[in-house]
Amino acid sequence: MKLYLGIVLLLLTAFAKGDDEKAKIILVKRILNDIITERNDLAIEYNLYNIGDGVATDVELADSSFHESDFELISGMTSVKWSRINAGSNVTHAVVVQPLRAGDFNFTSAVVQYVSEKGVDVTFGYSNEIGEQEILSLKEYNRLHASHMMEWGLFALWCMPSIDVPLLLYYLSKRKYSKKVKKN
Amino acid sequence: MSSLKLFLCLFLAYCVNGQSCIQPSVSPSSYSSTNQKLSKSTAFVVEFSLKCASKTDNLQLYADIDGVQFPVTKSSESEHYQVSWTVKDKKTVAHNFDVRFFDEEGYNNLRKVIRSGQSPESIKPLFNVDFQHPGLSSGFWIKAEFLGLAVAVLVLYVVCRERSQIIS
Repeated sequence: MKLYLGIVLLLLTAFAKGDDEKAKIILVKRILNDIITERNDLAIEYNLYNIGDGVATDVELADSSFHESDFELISGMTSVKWSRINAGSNVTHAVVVQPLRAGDFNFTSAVVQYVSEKGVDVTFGYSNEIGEQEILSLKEYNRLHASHMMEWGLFALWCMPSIDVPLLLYYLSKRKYSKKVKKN
Repeated sequence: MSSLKLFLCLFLAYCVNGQSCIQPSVSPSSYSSTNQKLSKSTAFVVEFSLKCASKTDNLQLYADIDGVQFPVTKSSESEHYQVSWTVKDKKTVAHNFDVRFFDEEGYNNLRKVIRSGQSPESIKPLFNVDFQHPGLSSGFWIKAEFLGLAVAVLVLYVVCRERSQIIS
């Protein structure tokens, strides 16, 4: 009798636990770049963590921050879906864009929607908001971070007359006098 | 009778979930970030559109990249897939990636093989995509300032040598 009672209790706890098995997804949006510049690649990373006890199904991630008037999509998709994300696991998604204009830009949050358990309505979630970030102009970026080979090359060219002319005069006179010394 | 019903249910569940792609035709494209000045982290993206001879409405794909498995993302609108991963705050060197893609059945077999300690190469992928990452670099290997300094030091050395010859 005790054994039966034990089995029944175990089953009840199993079912009770089954009812609580709900998925919960946390979405983190992150800029991978240290410097954001106009006409240079900008990589955005999305991390989805399922911190719930259940499997999240029909997971859809959408980010409408990158309008085509401000950004050019280089690689990746801004609206994607996973059929399932298991409990305790995480997935990564990345998108690469190029900003078309310099200036401050407000990077808003991405949206995730998923089914947290069977027979339940779709759950919506938002990522963190990165906020306003400065997009450097290409001219400013080149001034600060380019190799400046051209500028140094031109500087060397401009220095040449002041170094080479005295050097040439010196060599001419040296050759002349060394010949005289040899004759003597 | 009940066991027959159970079998039918299981079979139907397998048909719905365990879809496979027969004769896959893939058109891939890949991206990896290379400019170290912009970012110390590297983002890798492999995109492809997939066409199968069989019906694949609910196809779930997995990618195996250097022994690490990732679920493949699908576009909300089209038969376009993407797998992406990142390497943070570490300089990545030039590397040729062989990204192997598996369907649900292949992925389960792969997990079994990895659990049993066997080589994952023994499981044949559905298809694979090769791509070359040129490595994270910061452009020219020497800074222009150092080059300028080196030339100036060379000129100074030549002048000093000539001067010392005249004096002696």
